[in-house]
Amino acid sequence: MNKILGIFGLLLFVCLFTAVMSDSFIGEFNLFNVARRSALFGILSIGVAFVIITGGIDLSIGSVVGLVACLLPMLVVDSGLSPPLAILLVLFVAGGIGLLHGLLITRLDLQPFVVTLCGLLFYRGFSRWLADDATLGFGQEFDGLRLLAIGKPFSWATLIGSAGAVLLCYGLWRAFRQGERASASDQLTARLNRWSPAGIGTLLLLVGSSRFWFGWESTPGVVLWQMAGYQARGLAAVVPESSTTVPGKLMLYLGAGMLAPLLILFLRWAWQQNATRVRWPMIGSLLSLVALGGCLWTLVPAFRESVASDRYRVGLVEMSGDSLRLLALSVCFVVVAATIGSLGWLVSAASKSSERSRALVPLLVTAAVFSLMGLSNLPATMVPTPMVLLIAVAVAASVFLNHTVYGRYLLALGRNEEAARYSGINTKRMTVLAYVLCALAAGLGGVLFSLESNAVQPSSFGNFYELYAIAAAVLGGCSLRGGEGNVLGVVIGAAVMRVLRNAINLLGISTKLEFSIIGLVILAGVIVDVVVRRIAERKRLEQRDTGADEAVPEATAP
Amino acid sequence: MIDSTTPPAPLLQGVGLSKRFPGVRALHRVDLTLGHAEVLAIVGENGAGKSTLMKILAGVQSPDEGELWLRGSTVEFTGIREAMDAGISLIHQELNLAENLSVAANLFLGREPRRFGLIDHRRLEQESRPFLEAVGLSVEPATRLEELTLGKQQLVEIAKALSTGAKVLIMDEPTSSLSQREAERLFEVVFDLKAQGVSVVYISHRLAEVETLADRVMVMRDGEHAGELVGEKITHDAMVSRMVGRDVTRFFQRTRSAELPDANATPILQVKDLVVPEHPKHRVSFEISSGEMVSLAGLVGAGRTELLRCLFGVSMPLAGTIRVAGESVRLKSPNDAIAAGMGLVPEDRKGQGLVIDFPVDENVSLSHLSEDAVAGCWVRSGVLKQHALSSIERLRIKTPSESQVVRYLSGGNQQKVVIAKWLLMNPKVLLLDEPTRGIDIGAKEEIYRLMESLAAQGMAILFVSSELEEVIGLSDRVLVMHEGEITGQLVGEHVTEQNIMAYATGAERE
Repeated sequence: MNKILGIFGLLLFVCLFTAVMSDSFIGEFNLFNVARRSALFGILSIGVAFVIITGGIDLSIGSVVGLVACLLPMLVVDSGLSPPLAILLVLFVAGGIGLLHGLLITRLDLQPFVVTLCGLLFYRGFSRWLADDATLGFGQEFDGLRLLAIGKPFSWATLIGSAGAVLLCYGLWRAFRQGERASASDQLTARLNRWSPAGIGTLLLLVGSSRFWFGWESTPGVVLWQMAGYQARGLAAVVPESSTTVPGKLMLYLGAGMLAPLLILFLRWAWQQNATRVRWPMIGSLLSLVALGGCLWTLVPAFRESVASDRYRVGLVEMSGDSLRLLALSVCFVVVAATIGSLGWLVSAASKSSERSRALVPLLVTAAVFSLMGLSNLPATMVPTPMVLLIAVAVAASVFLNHTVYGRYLLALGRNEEAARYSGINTKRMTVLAYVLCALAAGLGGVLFSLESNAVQPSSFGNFYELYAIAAAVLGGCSLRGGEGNVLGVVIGAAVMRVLRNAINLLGISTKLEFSIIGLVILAGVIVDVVVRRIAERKRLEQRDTGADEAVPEATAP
Repeated sequence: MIDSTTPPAPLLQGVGLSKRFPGVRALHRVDLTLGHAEVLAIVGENGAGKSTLMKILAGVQSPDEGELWLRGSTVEFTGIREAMDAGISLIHQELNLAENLSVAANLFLGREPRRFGLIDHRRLEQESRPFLEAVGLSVEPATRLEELTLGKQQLVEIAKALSTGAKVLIMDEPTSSLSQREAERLFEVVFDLKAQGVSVVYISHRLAEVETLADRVMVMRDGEHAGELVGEKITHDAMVSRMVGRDVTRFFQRTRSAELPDANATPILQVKDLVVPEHPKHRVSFEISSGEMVSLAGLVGAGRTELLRCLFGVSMPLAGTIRVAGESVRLKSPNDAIAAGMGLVPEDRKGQGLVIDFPVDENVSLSHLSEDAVAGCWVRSGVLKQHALSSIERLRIKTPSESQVVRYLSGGNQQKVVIAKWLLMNPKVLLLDEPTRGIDIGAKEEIYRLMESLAAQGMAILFVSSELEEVIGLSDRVLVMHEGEITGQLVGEHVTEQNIMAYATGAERE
């Protein structure tokens, strides 16, 4: 769980930093595109996560994407196959590739790295030969099919509302099933724990459905009709992008309105319980917030308005626009990082020192995310179809991994293959399954990428995608040693990768540096993860040590 | 405390050594004296502080309190290197050698004689010869280490220690992976070293070895010095009673059921002419009835583990038949063996028995997952928890909760988790490979009682053990193996140490 929060913090940081430095980041067009690309790469990453969980690796993803992306237009356009059939066929091919990889790895005991490296080379060459290096596309006739990748079925508000409805149902079910938590020390904490999922669900539902209650076609009688019409138009991708600003406004007001009192309560309870523990995080957060304000006041406008070729005077120093922009960028980077970091520190310290404060965290985070999202144009933006597919894939993958026998088997064999085998798990079959799932995800990704771009160049389409996918999985908490990983983290990891790339483009950083920056950020993320884990481990040991005197008899007992 | 009037100062002395780890008091004011040319054995249950003491002596760790004296002057080691320079060498349970290098290269690893900056191979081999002779090893220095048996590798490790000029050798469970013959060879080397004036600190669970080897025995209990025995007084019972802090009966003795298994009933497990891939020249046949406890005795390398692996489907036999409850089964994987009603508690608990980073409940239910699941697929976590809780209660597994990661349990409790996993499957035959290795005496006895009660419920139990006491005390029948072949079968009063060893060494066969 901590890992997911960490990677979520990283996503928040990259988004916030980019949004502060560039207006276009929170524009509808940009948000839509970033969401779409994140979703596409998210699907690939979930696939490779399965393989990484077994302790293997799949380097062939990019080439499989390329192969599928070539095959699909060839089948649909050149051979005139019906699109659903063609998609099934290419997925079948992808699944076959995964099966082949899995069998080679388990039956012949080859190393996954080698097998999939050969796959990477082979499929790339094969697709180039198949397509004769010509650019492939669907032309104009298959725009209906292309909606699968570029469609806009409904707005984020609808998605938020639906998520709220699901959460509300779950929250109510949990609240009535569990009753008061016996473990909580006082009644207020117990109530907060019991009702906050339902409460957050209600808030989300309220925001999601707000455009029906306020403003925008406000006659309640025709709401359902309009909803239906809205969705129908959404499928045809003709909905005007600037449909409504009501959900966004509501999010902002609700979020900001809740944030202040919640924050005060949160800090007060923590302060009462353990003032020393929260003192430094509070001071740090305050300082960094002041610094952030300063940046917004001075450096951000300087960054946005400066012209590279002009010269500017900053205090006593005169510098070129280029240097000024670089200076502003770096200082803001550090300040935003410090802000997110110190706020995270504060939340973690406060929730550790007081049970009540901890119970408040979900609401607090909701309020904060509400106010941030309300500031952007996200609620008014449309959800790309790949995002819907990603959600479906992610939910299925998560259920598979955590609630089915096979998911447990995968995790167990990733941790200790021999013990899994000695426990009667058919480890070979499970490993094959992981490679098949990975290749299927790559196949689905290939279909969507192909439809999205409409111009597939066999020689380069999908190049490096395997590395993006693996990086996202690692960022999202998968260990390359195997046996560890969760789907939500991986999805967020993929989003981080895309937002980062987007940020590089928007901030006018040379795109030549793109790989270097992405590499650095991943490295930093992994280092921070290790350092934090070491500190936590040391703290755990220290705590055990201080409470050790009474524990000696038990600890030394056999 | 050292003054000129006393006889020559002891070689190595520890005074009031204490060491704490988070949550554990590993050593508490332990005094230790090691004379010149003396073999001092340290015995104690697991967790008694032997390893910590040894690490302090060898400079791996430094004590929180207390002092070390070497030849009458106080020393402080900040690392293993310094201890080595002072003449103290530690020989680990797991060997620290590079298998892909030659014997000579291993001896001088990190201290290679050089010529023009390159390794001088000729000198390397020349210089290693005397040290190999000192430990009685007659191998060419250029031999690659992996070509030697484990016992010889151990001797190389000792030669390596000697080559650093060691005057004190600390040996941690040196015989745990050696065969009887190799172990005896090692004992000779220890006696030789003693004659050459080297002192040895010898740590072992095997009390019989200690009886033969030690001049003096220091017993440890709960991190404290719990008594010392010298010369004649070193007896098995004396050591054990000091180790556990009470007088114990000599060894666990199974209460054998009065009636013999019904001769007409079909045996649960019938093995006929089985050819184990590692020993293709011999055929193995035996039968086990329900409720019977049979042990496989023999020296390390006799093919006992390999036989169990074949029976559990880990490796495929070359020929022969296996019948479980009268039905012939073909075992291509552990999965098949489990389906046929077998369970295996493997030798390597951490590598094969457990997913060490998984919690207790997931380990317990790992084999049973698909049976509990809805439609063989959807895991019901409530059921898992119930299974875990009932296993914890039934086997008395000491764990803070069912979601504790098994890595943090003691060896005995880890082994109970492995057994719990199989009990959930309710097997007809339970195979156990060295079930009590690395487990202290208290937990051992619990495992014995558990095995006994399972047999009483009608399970057929086949276990491998290298501890003769265990074999003799626990089994209804003993199958003795020698180099892949069952050389003898012992029942009733014929189950004696002499008989077992006679068959195990191949001196006698039926």
